[in-house]
Amino acid sequence: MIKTENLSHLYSEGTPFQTTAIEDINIHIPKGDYVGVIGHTGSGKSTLIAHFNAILKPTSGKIFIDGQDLWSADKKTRIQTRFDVGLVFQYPEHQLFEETVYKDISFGPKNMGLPEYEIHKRVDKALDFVGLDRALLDKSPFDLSGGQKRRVAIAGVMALEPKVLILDEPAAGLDPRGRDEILSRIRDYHRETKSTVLLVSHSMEDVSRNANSILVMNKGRCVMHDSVPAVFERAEDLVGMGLDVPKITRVFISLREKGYPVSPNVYTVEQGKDELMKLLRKGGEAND
Amino acid sequence: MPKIISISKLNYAYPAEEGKAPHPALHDVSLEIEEGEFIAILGHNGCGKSTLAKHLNGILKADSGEVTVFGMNAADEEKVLEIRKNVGMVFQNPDNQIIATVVDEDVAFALENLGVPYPEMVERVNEALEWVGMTAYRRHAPHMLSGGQKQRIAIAGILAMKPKCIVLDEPTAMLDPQGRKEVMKTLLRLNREIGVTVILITHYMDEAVQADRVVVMGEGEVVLDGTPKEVFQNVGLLHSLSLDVPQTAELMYALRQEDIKVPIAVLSVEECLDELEKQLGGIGK
Repeated sequence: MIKTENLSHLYSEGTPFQTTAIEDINIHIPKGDYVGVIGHTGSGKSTLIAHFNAILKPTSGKIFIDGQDLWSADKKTRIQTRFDVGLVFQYPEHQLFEETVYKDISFGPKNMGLPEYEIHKRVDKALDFVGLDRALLDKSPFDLSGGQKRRVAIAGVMALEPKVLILDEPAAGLDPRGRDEILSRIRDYHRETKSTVLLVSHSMEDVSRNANSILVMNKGRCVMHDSVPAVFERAEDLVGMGLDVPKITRVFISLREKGYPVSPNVYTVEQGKDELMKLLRKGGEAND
Repeated sequence: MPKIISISKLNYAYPAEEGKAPHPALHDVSLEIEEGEFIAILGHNGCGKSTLAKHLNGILKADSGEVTVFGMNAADEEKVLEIRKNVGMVFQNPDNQIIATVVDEDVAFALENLGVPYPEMVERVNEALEWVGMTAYRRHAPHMLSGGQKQRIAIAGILAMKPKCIVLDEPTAMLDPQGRKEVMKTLLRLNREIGVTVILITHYMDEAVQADRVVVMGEGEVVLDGTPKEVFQNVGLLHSLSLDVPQTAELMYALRQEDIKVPIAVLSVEECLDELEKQLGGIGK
């Protein structure tokens, strides 16, 4: 679905402020995958995803969307890419601008040139995905609560019915309830539409609970891209990069270092409990 | 330690919008805060924690009940300035709190308004920047700084007023993990080293466990109030309030469900390891 070849991007190229944002990225994200993108601030995550819907042009290297080389294609193809790859920025509620919720969500589909009935259908569907009440459609988005505004903004991108949905920290600033709600809506969307989803996050816990695979960015390079368990297998490396691995992962890494035969690959409380119960039962049998 | 804030049977409802009933936000809240405490206030959105905070320096006035701050009635219009010199507030979005185009001018903003003489102002600004570790950035433009740095500038602006108490309403919600750690380290340092009372509203458990005291709010009332250890015993209740619980306590709670006798309020990785080792006692090694 998304493929990059030696993708690099320099900011302020040719000036004294030139900085390398991403360097030599070679990744392949298959259709229908749910990828968590992690890395700390300045690691190049946002620069990378901005290439996927042609907002940024690579300094060198190539990007293929559905096998199509984005920058050797004509402009029309790139415009189509903006509809095919939906990007939800951080704090997307700051970008609401229409008079009503309906107008805001329908802005994208309208620009795609869809007929009125189709726009209507898409707004309806997007509203369901984000769990917003239809009674809000005629309201001004600015009269809504923070959590509702965020959902309107996400619905606006979902209404494009993109083949790839990319969300940059969709849960930032929300309370635990709001975070769980948004993430479960995105999970439903992924399951039902079979689209490819990229979730950019600082939280390893959120990523491990939602994604199938993880892409780790560090200092502008893609240093890992593998299934969730395979990435957590290298939890020590993640700690070394200054990433916050879940507390429970740290507990199990330490237990293993102390010589206990537990999996180092534990990142949820459920897995942790199962590992410990297995071990305790074994101990119980040995004593019998 | 002397009590500096005393809240007794505080009730507050937001005024009604046209054609709607007033929206009650706080119900009979009573709370005493001592000088030098580091208090974390937890609760989901809409539980009343920000509303409570806004009563501490006279931004909102009680419908009934009383809020006494440093011996003054917080609803007394004439005392508001004096109260705000003692209780400073920091809000969530760093970009909304920075006014000047140079860091030290921003920190000096309140002092200028208070008419503090120039030499003293310079001294206080320098001191405040030193405390938040931003001295090196004093001539920088605030908009070029990271979120964590901006938030520390906002804290310095409050510090320059030499308040006895700082109230922070989700100061780390918009920051990345690095910025969150910077702000938390700064607050702990101010509390431990110069005895500033800190009241921190947050969603992050790793911040709450570092406080001396945790107050949990739900639907406009105080639901739990105690040390982090006491509060995080109540895993079930916290879940029902849709709050996070530290993963280590979650694990202990899950083991308890399996009849394994472990304490629940285990809040750090080290403590958790100790408890697990006690249970495992070398099995399989």
